[in-house]
Amino acid sequence: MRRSAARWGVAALLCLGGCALPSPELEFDEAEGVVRAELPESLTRRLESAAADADGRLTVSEILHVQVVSAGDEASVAMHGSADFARGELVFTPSFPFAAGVGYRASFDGAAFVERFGGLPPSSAELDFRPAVDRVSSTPRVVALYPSGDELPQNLLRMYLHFSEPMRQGVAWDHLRLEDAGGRVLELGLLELDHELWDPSGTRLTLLFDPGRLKSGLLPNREEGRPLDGQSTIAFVVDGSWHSAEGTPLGTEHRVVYAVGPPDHTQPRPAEWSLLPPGLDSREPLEIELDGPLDHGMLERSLVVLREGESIAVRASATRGERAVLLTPEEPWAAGSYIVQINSRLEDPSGNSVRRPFETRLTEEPQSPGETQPARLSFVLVDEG
Amino acid sequence: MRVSLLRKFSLSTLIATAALASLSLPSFAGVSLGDGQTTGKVPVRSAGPLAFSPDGVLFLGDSLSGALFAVDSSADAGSPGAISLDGVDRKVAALLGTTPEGIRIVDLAVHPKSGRAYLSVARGSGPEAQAAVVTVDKAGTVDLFSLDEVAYSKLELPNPVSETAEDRRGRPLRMQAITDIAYAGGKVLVAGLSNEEFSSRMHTLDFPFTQAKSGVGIEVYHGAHGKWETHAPVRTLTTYDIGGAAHVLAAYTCTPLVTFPVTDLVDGAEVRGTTVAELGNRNRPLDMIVYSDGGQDYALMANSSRGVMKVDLSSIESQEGLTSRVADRAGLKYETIAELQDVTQLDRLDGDHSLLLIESDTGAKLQTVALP
Repeated sequence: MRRSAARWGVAALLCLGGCALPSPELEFDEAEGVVRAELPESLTRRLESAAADADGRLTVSEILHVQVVSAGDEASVAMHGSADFARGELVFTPSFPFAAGVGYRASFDGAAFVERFGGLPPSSAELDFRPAVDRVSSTPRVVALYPSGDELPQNLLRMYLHFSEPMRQGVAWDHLRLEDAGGRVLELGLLELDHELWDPSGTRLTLLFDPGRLKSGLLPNREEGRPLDGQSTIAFVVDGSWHSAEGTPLGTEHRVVYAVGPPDHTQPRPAEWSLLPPGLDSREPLEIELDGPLDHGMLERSLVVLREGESIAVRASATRGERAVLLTPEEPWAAGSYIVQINSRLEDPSGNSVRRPFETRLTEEPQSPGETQPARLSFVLVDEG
Repeated sequence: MRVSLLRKFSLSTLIATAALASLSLPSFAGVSLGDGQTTGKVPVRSAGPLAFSPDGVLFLGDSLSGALFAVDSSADAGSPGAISLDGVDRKVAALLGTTPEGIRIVDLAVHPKSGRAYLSVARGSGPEAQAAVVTVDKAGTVDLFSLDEVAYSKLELPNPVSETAEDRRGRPLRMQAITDIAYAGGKVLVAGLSNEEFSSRMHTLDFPFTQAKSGVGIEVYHGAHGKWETHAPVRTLTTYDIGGAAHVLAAYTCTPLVTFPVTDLVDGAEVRGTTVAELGNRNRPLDMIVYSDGGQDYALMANSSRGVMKVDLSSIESQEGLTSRVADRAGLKYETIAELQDVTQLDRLDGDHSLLLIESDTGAKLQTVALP
């Protein structure tokens, strides 16, 4: 610092005659996501001569830096990035992109310049900027809530909440609530994981009711019962203040009312499913009527259709409150014998899977001894022409 | 994180290790990361749990990639000391060029050599959030741990989705969230939670990674009072020596604390944990370490609503699996450390201290406390 002050002194002396160094001009290049400093020629020359010793490139992070500004105050920590002088240009490139709507201040530090390169001190310069939200983001909305039927089992384990847009993560529990028939807010009873269970696109959130309260014999279950115990109807509410990842709120509350039915401890039994075969040479969906509502997420990926032992491409979609599934082929159904294979991990909304119930009473015989066999259904399409 | 008692160390050994490291040449060759080791930008897609090996390999879980990264941070040296930093969320956000609302601190682990706090951070609020690792030293300096030009290796976790891949159309919705990782004696343990089926998968991976052996998947069940048995996703885990054998000490999403021997973790096994404690209701375990004080072993556990619990492990070997109904607590005795509120993450700083991440409505801070 002392050295710098001395140089300032020399500069002041030399400039008694009225000379003044022009100050650099800072510019936020929104397209490139960088800050550029346009330097007076004298500074460019000084940097070029310094850079000539170092592959023509010079990192000068102490001279050009960027800080987040909030309510007029600069953050005490500078934004991580790199300020490089190359090919006559001084550019700050952030390690993480500038965020839309956040205020920034770029600073060219004249004193730091002199500290490093000596010579006459250039003026310092600052630029405040705020990247615009780059497009008009659409208003997010809740597009589905599963189970989609009218009734939930008292021991419901899992729900899926689908949105039209990727949503802000890490705040889900602040925006969800359960209400009883009288509109009183119930304790949510959900497993409020800090690691929210989003799908990779950020539009589907998986919600689990607290397994500690669903599992027989555990303390939470004994003391508080299952979250939906004693309720005849409940409303599941997503409040309107939840923002999309882009920063737009839902705006309106989304409310779904369910009746609460008895607990479901039975496993899905494919043997009881009924199959409605499609027409030969058509692309009608093969319709399978299930023995009860199944898990929406798993239902659409747990069925494989084989024709003469070879798997064929079908698109599965759950329907009628996940009590049925439609399998639509890519190619028309050809004559032959078909098998529908069912992944034994397929669960119902209470977590009972084809292979085992959510919980097993260890003192009892297995519920259905044959369940570990791969479950399959078959049908034949005959060409009568 | 989740320091195993297999690597007990004191502050003095930490300092000695750090001194050795700082004497090393800058070209300190680091450590072997196994097959596929390369140097460059770590292609991590999402910020997840962190853990260290004692020699400074940073393990980074990446749920979006369904993979675990091992990153060489063995050159990080320094003299460890107490870390305290108010407003760590604001400072980390500023470093990453955004506001505190624009980041999420996912996990905390203390570097075994430098004593620096490593934070796994999601920068952004949606699925496009970028992963960052940020360090905080005892002076309170916040810095980025660069993932741009480092030695790393990657191991993809066995993915049960492929079992049904044939009939899948459109976007995959299923994801296996990595909820915790722990390192012990050449093995990395990975606990996961699916966003679809409830069955729990744990993976054990040999380290250094061998591509030929991509790790084993284990299904974990939970027996309650010897009468019921259910699937049981593990929320947080660590390793612990019981009677000379390495065990996993795990807390399920539904709070019971269980153990199972590491030797049970073989491919395809169905593991049943022994419930050694029920820690009460309205509670979710968040993070856990084990430590020793006056010859006695304890687990320190951060919880969603029951504060920080100090669990006495001295009788864990003789503790029978819980089989009878109890009024509230059962099994191992624990006390709640009342003054520790809003602790969401913790790791051991040295033999006597723990580093806490405390997150409340007013912001986040790092705080060093004496182990209780």
